[in-house]
Amino acid sequence: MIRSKSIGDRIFVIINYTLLTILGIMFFYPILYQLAISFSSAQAVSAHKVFAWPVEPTLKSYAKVFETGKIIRAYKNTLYYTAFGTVLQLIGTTFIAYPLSKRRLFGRRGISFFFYFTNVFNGGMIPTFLVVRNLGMIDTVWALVIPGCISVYYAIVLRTNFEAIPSDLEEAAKIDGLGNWAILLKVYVPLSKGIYAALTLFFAVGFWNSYVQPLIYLNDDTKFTLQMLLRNIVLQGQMTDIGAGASNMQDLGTNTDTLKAACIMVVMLPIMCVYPFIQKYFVKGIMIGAVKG
Amino acid sequence: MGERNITTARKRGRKYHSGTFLYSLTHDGALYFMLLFPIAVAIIFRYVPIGYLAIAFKNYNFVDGLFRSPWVGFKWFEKFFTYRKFGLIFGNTLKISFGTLIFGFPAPIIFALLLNETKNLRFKKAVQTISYLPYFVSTVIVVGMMNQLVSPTTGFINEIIRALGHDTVMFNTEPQYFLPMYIISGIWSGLGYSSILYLSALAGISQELYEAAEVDGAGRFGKMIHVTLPGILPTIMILLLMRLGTLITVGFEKAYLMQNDLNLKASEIIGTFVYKQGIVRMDYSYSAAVDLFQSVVNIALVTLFNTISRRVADISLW
Repeated sequence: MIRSKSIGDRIFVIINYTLLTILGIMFFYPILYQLAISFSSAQAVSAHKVFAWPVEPTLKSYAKVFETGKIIRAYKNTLYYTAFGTVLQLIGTTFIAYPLSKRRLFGRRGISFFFYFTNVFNGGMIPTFLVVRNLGMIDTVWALVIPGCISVYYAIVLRTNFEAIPSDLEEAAKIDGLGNWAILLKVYVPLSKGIYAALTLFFAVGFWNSYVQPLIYLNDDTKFTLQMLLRNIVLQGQMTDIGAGASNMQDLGTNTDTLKAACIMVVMLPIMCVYPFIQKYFVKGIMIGAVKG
Repeated sequence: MGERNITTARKRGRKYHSGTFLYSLTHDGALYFMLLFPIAVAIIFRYVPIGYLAIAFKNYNFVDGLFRSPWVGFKWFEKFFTYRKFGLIFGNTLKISFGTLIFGFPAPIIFALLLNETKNLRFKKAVQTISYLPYFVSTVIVVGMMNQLVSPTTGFINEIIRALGHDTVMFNTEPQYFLPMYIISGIWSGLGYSSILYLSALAGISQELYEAAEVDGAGRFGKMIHVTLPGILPTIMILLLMRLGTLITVGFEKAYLMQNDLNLKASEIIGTFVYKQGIVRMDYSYSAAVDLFQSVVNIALVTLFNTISRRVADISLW
């Protein structure tokens, strides 16, 4: 196969690589920028000296962020909701996916449609809120964790995965005298480690980043999550939550930009830690979903 | 497969074999037990709220509850249609919906196509990996970073604008910039994630087709038009139809976070209106009606597009 490279072709290749490189930079530059600002002094930031790395490095902004206990408390709350929610969602998704993956189950199609329909049409924000409210779940962790714990899309992904596991394994297990619970826990789950890793990542990130549910269902500010706190600080400039009144900021080497940046980095920390693992499991996870489609 | 095992046993005189409810219940009771929990959650938190939609036609109050609150017919719908900001709110919702569709839908496809043209595998993988990063950044942070970048005082973008000799642009507070910022930040967040499906579809196109095209004298773009695009067309159509399912039900989260008193003319959409009327002002019936209106319009549009798609290209959701 002879490939003649015309000038036009060469130009395209150069432009393409350049364009993609620029795009690549644009994907992480904003985050890098915030990282740089968070470690820079206020003077450097206001003097427009900060571009991609810290100028006049200091940890003062981070010290300020943790000064009142509010960020720590929000961290605890968010970790709690995320852990609890992820576990519950994994269980819920498994309990939908596993039974529906068995063709012998009577009513399989009807039950599948029952779940699928919830994706097509639902009550919306207000009716759902009213149900939660009338059940007395406002300001509790349950409101954040239960309504979302059945994810139909991911249940389908998991079900497809279960269906792909050879049924001989189940039959062999039955001969060994294992019941359905044991088969699920000792055969199917261990064989689906990859999918469960991907799901755990998706669910956890989803909970960590969620803003709407906490906004609607939490009124008690001791229960607020990081995203809610972050919104107040970063988008509304309410610096009181991190103990920085306007008066004492300049001489401490911090200003609103550095403080906001430090807050952002603090909240993003777990995501950044998890990100390397994402590369491993993420693509596979999406692909499994795609195969179903 | 061993599942059609017809064991006829006398159980109250009925046939008892694999495939009947009784068999399933007794042999696989555990499976039904597992389903109980999700079914209960689905009923309570998905189906019961559908019932609560009735409040859109009632004057809901807590004392009377769902069933005893008085009916008011279409009062809330009339109220919304005659609301002086109705056109603004509905218009903004439509603008954002179609804007994100027209610009946001093709972007991952183009990105995937361009990435597919690179032969250096390490470069390709590196760019791909970086492209997922924005997806995991929360909406609050995305808006926060965006505000910082366009800030009139310390923002990078205004730096450049001033260096070029123009006046500072107030991106945050002038309504005309709301839509572009919304769309661009949306593309930033979703480009990498959305492109994965297209990239996998591209990988599935047979090499032989490309070689045949080469023999026929097709250049790079010829191949793209005659081999690549037709190859991923089914994927595109399916994803497009799925995307259309939520056409105008624009989520309120980002618009709400980007909203401030000064850009309301462009940033107030049905979603934010429903939140403010319903959750904040506790005007439950009215806001539920507005939300229902949005859903109905959405279903109507989806049905329309589905019919067109079926007539024209024989591809449809149902």
